[in-house]
Amino acid sequence: MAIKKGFLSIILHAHLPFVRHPEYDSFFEEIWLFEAITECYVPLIRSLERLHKDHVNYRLTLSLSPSLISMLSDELLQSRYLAHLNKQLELAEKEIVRTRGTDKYQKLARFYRRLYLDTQDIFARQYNCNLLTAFKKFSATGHLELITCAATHGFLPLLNKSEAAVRNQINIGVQTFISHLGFAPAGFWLPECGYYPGLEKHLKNAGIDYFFVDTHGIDNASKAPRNSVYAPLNCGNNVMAFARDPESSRQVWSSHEGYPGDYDYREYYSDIGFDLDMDYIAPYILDGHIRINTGIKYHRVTGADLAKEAYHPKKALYKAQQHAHDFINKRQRQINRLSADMDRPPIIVSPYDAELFGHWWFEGPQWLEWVMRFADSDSNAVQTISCADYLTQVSSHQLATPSASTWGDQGYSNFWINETNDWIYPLLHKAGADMEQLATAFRGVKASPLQERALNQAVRSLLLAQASDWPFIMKTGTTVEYARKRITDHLARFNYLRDSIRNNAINDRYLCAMEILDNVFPEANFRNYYLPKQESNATISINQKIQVNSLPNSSINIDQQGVL
Amino acid sequence: MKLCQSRYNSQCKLSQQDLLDISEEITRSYAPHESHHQPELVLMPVDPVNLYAYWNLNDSDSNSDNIINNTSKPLALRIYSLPELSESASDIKLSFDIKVQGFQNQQKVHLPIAASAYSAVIGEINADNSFSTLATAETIHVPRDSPVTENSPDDDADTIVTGQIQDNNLITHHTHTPLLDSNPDFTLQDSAVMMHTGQMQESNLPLTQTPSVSPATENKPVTESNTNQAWYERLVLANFNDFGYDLKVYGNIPDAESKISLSGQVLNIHIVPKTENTMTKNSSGLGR
Repeated sequence: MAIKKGFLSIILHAHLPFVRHPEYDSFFEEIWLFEAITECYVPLIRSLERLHKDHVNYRLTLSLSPSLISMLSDELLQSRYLAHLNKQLELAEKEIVRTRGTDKYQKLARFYRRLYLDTQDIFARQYNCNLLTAFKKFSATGHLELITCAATHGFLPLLNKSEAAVRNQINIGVQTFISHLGFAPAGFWLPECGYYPGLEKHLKNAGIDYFFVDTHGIDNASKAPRNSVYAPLNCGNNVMAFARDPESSRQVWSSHEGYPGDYDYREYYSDIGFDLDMDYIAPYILDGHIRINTGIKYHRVTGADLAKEAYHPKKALYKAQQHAHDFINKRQRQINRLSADMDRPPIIVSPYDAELFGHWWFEGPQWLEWVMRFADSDSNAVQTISCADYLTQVSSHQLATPSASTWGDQGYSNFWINETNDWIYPLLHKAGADMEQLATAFRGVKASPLQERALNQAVRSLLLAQASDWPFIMKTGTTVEYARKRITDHLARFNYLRDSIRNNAINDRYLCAMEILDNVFPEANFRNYYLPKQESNATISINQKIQVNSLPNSSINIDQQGVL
Repeated sequence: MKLCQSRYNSQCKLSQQDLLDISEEITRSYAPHESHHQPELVLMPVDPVNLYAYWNLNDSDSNSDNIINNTSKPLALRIYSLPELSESASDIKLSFDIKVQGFQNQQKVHLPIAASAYSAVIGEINADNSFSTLATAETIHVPRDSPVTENSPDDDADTIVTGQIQDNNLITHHTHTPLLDSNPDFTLQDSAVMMHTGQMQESNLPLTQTPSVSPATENKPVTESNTNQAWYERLVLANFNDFGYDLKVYGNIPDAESKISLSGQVLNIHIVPKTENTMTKNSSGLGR
């Protein structure tokens, strides 16, 4: 095989906050997962299946966040998704009847019915309701590299007041990935690409080989990068930092020049949930009277200030192919340009949110599929690669430390700390410090089974409160009340558990309730929260006696002095 | 009625209503509030020119419930910066005070001087204008906002082969490189504000607002809590660059000659320009 001049690494980062409410029969925000399954994850699996059948030689990287992994494997959410899909099918059937006489819309109604039936087949029959099985399968073929992320997508630069908090987010993320996927990830997606110098130490300890930063993280590194953002930097401990390529990112992300805004693509904001009579659509919207997206959309983007025209799937697919071809051509030109000045093959790193593909950009999965197909053709010298493969092929890397950076608004932490959400950080830091104290107090001490459960549940509550999604939502102003409630609930549960443990008054019934409500991360172990070098800092002057002899099957008395 | 059970105790079965009731009761009784065991001041980097401070001056271990409520003295957040100068310039330090109200417990701080590291104290301003520290923050580093200058030829030696380096070579803090050579932004010198030991004269070139300068009102040393190093206040630049802060310049050498070297160093302080960042944000996933 001819040696390629350069590489293209596409990374999809798939993440949703952990939203699961067993205390209700149904819960609106769970629809985030359901929509993503229908519009993003199943379409991606369809594309991977076609590439596999056609023997396309491709390499794609998929980052699965631990909270998403937990939801995809959760039986309650799986069953609720099936019920949701049945409702979608029912609506599509109704639409086929309603649109009789308007051929273009009825064709689309039939299109959605076929889509939902196929989704049902893939989800339920082929993969037994667990899409992780599909991703594992494609990973085993060698074409899909799976990596992971921090446990609940905690924004690490602002959790960094406590090293233990950062380490816990990383380690439980990796543990969750291993327990569900069966192998250790080589790569790690830093939530929001949030990096600060020193973070690589925790990644190294978690067995991670590489991670990603935004462009300016490498541009502004401790030493001028010799190969710009087209080769990784060695952070000094053999953990490599790859940077996002701004050019290829802009082609997809930009609202002005990006592909998704093409007039032939499906219009996201035209949805029958908002367009049809309330009496008709009521059974398929929130609480029967609050209009929401149903996923059935009949129009294409069409153009600014024009009446929306009917969507034409075949035309849109053709446009996706054209855009994929354009994307590869531009990468080819980019590689030709870069290769001349580089001492190694350039790697163009193009990371995207997985949920862009299919949800916001309906044709995104087909575009991605065609990018992989064109890259595999002999007519160009662009080869898709994973970052782990690149590190195998190119072993020598410049030594430098990236600068602190994120991929958010303005490139730093502004989106996650501002006037809408700054109130959460004193509370998160306080809970983190309390968790460290608890872990320190029980160091080397045999805890009762009830104490063990309460301490582990406290770790889960803390992790769930730390999700970057909550400050993100507060800033975007979408479901702010829900985000505020989630942080408040999780910190309240943490406080309850902390006090129960300190007072040796753990109520098994209440603990069970929290274990049911927040059933995430069964592998969480409070003993891993302990951070040796901070032991003395965690010691304060309160004397506390913990008695566990009131528990069944326990006869241990523990005097804890000066540790809680 | 559908019952749920914990994976850790299959004997305990709870209904949806039970779950809801327990959840609401816990939130009602244990909703978080800031309650710290000891006074605390925390700095967090936001971006190269902003940081965020929060503090809690309650002291649950003392007899007083609230330090702030027991005093009528004005409070100030004092930020110390280490300017991005050459290594030889480490004998100066800058600070500025932000007056805070007793009910406040947080403040976003726009940084008037480009530096890489900041520390802070919060405290009371006494009648004699001295400062009584109530809480001290740990030093933080803000992100670099521009590329470093060209690497030295020795940097080729930094290229290493995967697997050869040991963990004890870990780099956790970047080297601070002078911004002056590469950055188009202006310095005090660019603004042609000339300073002589403790005094300044205005020039014709514009600054956002030419700082007025006065000699330091006191020459008593302040001591950095974590190093016990004494710092002598030398200059005060009132309403520096129109940021609303008075910039204080400290030196760590008490003798008068140090003022000469100090003035030379301050001429090269990198001032943060007021610019808008035009980077766009990513749209994100569902519900986000």
